[in-house]
Amino acid sequence: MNKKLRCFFAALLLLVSIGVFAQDGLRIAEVFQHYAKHSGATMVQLSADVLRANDMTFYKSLSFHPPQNGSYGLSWVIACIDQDKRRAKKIKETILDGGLESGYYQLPQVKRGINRFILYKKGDKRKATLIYIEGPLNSADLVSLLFSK
Amino acid sequence: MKETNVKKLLDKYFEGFTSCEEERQLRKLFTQGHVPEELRIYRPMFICFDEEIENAKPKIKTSIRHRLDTRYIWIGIAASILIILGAGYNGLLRQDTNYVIINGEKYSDVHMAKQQAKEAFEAVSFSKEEVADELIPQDMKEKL
Repeated sequence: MNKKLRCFFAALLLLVSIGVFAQDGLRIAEVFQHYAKHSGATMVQLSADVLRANDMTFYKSLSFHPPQNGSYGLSWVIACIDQDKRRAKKIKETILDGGLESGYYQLPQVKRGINRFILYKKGDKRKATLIYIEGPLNSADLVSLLFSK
Repeated sequence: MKETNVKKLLDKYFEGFTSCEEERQLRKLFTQGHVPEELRIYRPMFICFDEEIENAKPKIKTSIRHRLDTRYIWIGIAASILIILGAGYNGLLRQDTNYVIINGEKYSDVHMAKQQAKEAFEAVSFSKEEVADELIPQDMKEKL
């Protein structure tokens, strides 16, 4: 098989896999994977069929209690978010005493017309919430949804 | 073509200075036209060259076309398989995409998943008071 043919197959595979696993390649995917089945954690995944009304095509949230220290503790979670936010547009971020309290970021699109967002907030009693959203909604739509409190 | 011109052209040919067009003329003359008696000894040579050229032409074309056709067919088949597999895989994944995992237990109840999603979303939501509070610097808050 020549080089051109191999490149063609690689590009096709990439296209297919991007469509299916848009979240892959993000460090927060590791956080979801690590804490999904932890005691005291709740992970939700919803797809377009139940999210249509909110202009979302994919939703994944994780409510968990990361330990303050340790290899998969809070600092690791923050490091994962920090790495992903490097290529993202910051919507809103709150830093308290040098630590990330909450962060709302818009990632670059991997599929035309589909925006991607990472939402993070540290709550009371070491509880943290991490959300990944995909959909045609824009950052203004998201902020108005977040202002509903 | 005059006999003297043919001779000149032949000399040029044997010296290796003829153009493609001149060689084509020579081949045509020796295979189809009237050839002077003394030059007929060259006729079998030109007939042979002409036959060889004619035989080689279609073979090269067919071979390239065949290779290209086969390649396009394989690319088409591979692309179709990938698209079908991709769509099928996507479909399989989406079948199980609405779920919630609580304390390690997985539930496929959409209503429960939506409720938990709503709670998580509310946890990251903010009120106008919170935003206003964030805008006031910490030292100013302490003074207040």
